[in-house]
Amino acid sequence: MTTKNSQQRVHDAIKHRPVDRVPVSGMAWFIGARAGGFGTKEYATTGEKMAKGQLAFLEKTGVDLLHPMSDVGQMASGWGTVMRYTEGLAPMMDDFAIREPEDWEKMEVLDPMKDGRMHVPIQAISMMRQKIGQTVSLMPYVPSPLTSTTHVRAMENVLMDIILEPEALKKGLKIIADTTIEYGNRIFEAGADGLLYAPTRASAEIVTLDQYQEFGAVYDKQVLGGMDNQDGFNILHVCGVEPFFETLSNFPNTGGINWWDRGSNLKIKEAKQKWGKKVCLVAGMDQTTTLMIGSMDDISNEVKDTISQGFGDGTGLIIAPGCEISPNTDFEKIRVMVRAAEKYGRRA
Amino acid sequence: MKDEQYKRIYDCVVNGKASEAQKIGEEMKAAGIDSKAIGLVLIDAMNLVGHRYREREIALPQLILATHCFKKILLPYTADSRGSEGVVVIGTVKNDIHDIGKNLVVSMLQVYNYTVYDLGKDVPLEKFVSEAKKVNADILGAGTLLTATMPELIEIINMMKEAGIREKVKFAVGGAPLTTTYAKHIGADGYAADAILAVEMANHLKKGEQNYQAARQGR
Repeated sequence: MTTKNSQQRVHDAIKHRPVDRVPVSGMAWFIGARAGGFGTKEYATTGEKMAKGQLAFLEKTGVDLLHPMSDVGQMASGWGTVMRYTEGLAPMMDDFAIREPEDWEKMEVLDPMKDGRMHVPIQAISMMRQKIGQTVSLMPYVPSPLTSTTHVRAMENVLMDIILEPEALKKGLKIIADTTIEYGNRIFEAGADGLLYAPTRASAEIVTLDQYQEFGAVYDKQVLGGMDNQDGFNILHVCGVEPFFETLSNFPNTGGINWWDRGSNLKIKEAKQKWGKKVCLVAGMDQTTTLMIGSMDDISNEVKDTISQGFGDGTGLIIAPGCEISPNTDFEKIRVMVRAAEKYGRRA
Repeated sequence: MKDEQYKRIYDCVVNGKASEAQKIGEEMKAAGIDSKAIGLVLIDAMNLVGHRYREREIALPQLILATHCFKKILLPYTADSRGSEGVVVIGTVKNDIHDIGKNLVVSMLQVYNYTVYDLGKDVPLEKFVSEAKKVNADILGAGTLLTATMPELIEIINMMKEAGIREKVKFAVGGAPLTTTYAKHIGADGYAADAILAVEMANHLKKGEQNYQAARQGR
């Protein structure tokens, strides 16, 4: 087997081709600001700073897959959600755009190059590609329509709208889906391999499967199947602890699923057995305990354990935290993840 | 309370009839039904809703709607109601605006007869401690959804020590990224994975138990 670069390694893992070693993602989102020495607002609002921050993280850690982004509000701010910028922390939503159910139908499809801050990751990807060529995978976070509804309206209200105002909510979901397709197209044009596409609410402790099918999956399939790029490298990112893996694994244009295996009821071993031939598993490192309070040995051992559970066939696994790592995470800890993957995850 | 009154309240909560809730509360108060009697029906209803949530027959939309209904039913009684199970001060830590789980915990504790001081979201850390001291809290609860703000929970414990209330007030934590491991690591007295389990945790802490972790599989 020939030595591969990071991008080829990620692509092979997603397509279930043999890889030279298991690839690693650091789920590095806002930590890019710290890596590059940038303030919160300049990193979150300037493509050049985001690109430099992400590349600085790459240099410090050696991961195979980057997710150029700062926060989840790039699209929502285009509809009027107000962001707060606090140094050292990812931008947070301070005030939501949608106050009443009737506001859903007032939404309009956004232009990713002009509205909100969608242009920031788009520019960052373009600059990064120019700098590093086709060596490392780039997959920015893009929220699903149902996830985005909770970025423009308080989640508690969105969840009540599912029962009390379903038709109004669906009007908003349609507009968001159309915007998300456009956003995705511009991201691919800039040079991304795929999206870290986030149907974060696709989990049984959040909504029922029926509710997810009606208010989530319908629009997810529209977005994933409706973008110009159909290469199938997209990775789904689910936040919940009881993810609807069976439903998600059947989505179009989807190559992998990222979830918090260490904190959820679905472990790598079971996921590999049930869905390992269908989708690439993107998981294995606990971002809330091991990366925050664990030792370097704990991290190395967790990588080893993940490989033993999910890499028996020598492909279909990317070692990754289950969600964004804390911006305070020691870069060396991510470097240790990569070293452990090199030590335990090589295949001859 | 007459059977039909009981059924009306129970049905409103279990089936999430939001538009009727406040009117039911007003009518019950006008009919002379006291808050304790109302509370007993609400507990019955929420026991069923909680059971259905635990069994995943329903999810957050129905759970939130049920809590919304019982809050509306209780609204006419709020001024003169005070839970006797214990006093809880609760909030989401500063720089975190996620409060859906915290709001559910507040509602569930109120149903189960706790007096709850809800500080809201994005709460300065010193406010947690000063409020707990001021109202003589039994339990101080803090939540966060962000990995970036998880260390704030340790700061609250340090502030409780400095204020001299750490031995007196139990400290409980919650939030999606938290785990039993993390809760134990920082020295919290309690952790609950969701709002239903939070009541169970509060009951144990109130009895004087320490290090009570109410988690589901995998957490």
